[in-house]
Amino acid sequence: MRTIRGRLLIGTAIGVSLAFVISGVLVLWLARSSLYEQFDEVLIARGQALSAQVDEDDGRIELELNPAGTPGEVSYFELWSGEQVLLRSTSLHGTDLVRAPGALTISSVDLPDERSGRQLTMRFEVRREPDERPTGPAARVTLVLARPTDEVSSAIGRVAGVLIGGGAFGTLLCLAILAGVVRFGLAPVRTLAAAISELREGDLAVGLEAAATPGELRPVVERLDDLLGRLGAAFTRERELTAEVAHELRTPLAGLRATIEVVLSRDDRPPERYRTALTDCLAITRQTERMVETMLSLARLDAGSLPTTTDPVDLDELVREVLAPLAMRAADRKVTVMTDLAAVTATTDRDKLRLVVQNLIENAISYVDSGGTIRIALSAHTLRIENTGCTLAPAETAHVFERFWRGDAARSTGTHAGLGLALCKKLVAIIGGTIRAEVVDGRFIATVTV
Amino acid sequence: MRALVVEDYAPIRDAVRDGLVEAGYAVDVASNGEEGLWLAEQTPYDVVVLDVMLPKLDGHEVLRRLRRQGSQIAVLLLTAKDTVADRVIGLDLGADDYLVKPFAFAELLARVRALVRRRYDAKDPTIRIADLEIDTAARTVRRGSTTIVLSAREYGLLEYLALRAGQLVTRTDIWEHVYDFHSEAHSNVVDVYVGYLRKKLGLPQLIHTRRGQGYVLGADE
Repeated sequence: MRTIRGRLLIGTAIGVSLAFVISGVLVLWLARSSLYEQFDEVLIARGQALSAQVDEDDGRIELELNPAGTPGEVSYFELWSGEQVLLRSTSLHGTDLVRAPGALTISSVDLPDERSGRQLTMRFEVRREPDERPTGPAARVTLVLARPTDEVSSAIGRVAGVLIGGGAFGTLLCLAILAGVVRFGLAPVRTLAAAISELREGDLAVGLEAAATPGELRPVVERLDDLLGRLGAAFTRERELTAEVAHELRTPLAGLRATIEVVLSRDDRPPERYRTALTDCLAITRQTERMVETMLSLARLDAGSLPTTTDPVDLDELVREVLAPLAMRAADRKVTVMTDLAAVTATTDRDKLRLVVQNLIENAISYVDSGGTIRIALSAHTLRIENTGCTLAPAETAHVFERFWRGDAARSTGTHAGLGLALCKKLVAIIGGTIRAEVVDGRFIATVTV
Repeated sequence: MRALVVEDYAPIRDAVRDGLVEAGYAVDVASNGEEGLWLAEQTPYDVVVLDVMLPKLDGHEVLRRLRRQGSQIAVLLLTAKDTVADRVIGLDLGADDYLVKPFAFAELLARVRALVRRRYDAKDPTIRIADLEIDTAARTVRRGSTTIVLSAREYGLLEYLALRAGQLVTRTDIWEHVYDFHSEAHSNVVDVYVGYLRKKLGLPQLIHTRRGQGYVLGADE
């Protein structure tokens, strides 16, 4: 059973019927023993009444018993004196009853007519007439009296019937009531389900009404609300990011389209003009490509689908490796690159750290003023990259790690999408380091600790 | 006609400038809001193509300041954001029109032409003066049955004179509306171009000189 209701109903059915069975058996046992006790008392009384009708007179035993017994009542009896049968009831038709040992014994027996019954075996001394002188030891007589227990059995049967019927009915009644109670008790769950199904993607943050739910469900509703709040915030972020991405892609597309349309508006241009336009378009395409690549890297990092490796990495080696192919670009811009690299080895993710270093150095080369200086210093797990010619206000450094944020200088060239530092921050967080940016006296300083 | 293009993204700025110059406009460019605002304050542009996301001062702020100064300049906003709210903000700040990036260059030209017509109270894109017919959309000029081929600068000069037909147009007006900041400022550059134009338009003379004042384009003296 997968439902709470089903579990409760089955559990209750088993419990209630077990309780009914146990109490029924107990009641039946008590009823049975008291009925038999009563029956036995009557049997003994009858036995004593019979024994009272046996006298001794002058050494002879006199019986005043009627062998036919009491009219309208089935009973079997037999009297012995030693091994000699003194009297048989007519109902025995000449057969014998079995004597049990003991002075007064009651036992269950099968009667000659094959019915079940109880039998009394009594041994007693025959009563003497009070005026008579004893001439020897009193005569001992054995009386066996047996009566059928039909009535007792049928009474027990009736009691059992009532118990079974009552038990079954009681069980069913309990289940019916419980079904109703469970239904009523689970109503808040249905209300909650309805409230959840009415939630729309747009307003997840509205949440559910925790106040209206019973105490047991409140933790669930509160967790749900918490989750919904976070989901709503994530959806909003995602929507904003999508809008931002669309906006960022529109700008290069607009540039491509305008460039192409203007140059195509005439077909009598000199070939160099077409070449220039195509070169411009290629440059725009490359920038866009880089932006898309970076966005994809960020998305993969967000999704946590890039595995992290840890290797011993020579940090100074890594910086030199990254710097070598970029040196030409720096030289083109007449930039002085000064390095002060101590030999440092760290255990970290080589590829991710490489991306970080590459982005930071590329940034420095892009934003340094013509003829300016880039300083790269490495010591004790801290890499510091700074460039002169920074036009950012110190307060603006708070934004540099935001996606698509660009300083004015970066925006006018259109070569940066404002994603590089966002990627760096993400990567550094994944490899467990820290990254910081500051602007001091027109120098942009990025510090990475591994 | 003189236009200002304020756009920070170089490929768009250059393409729009080139396209407008080829269409006969005198074009100045600015790559940030401050520079754009300064230029717009100094020069009686016929139209300003203004990007919204700009460094230093954004396009909305430039527009707000221009309108606060009482500038009647025609402004076409270029925006990469196309939500209703974005468009409403721009128009409510006093933009005359807007265009969402990426745009078709032909549409940008058509909208700029429409703004220019509006500025000179012309509804008809074809201007007729006597037997002279100027199709401002196709940029073709005919006199009678003869098609006249003009350079971009000559066309710009003729269109300006035609939009102000019958009025006295000073040399300063022409200088301000037909030439951009990069034009060489000869003392008689206007007269030289008017001379070229007169020659191409032929007789009877349509451009009349008001000695010491300027020119009037019209059928009769």
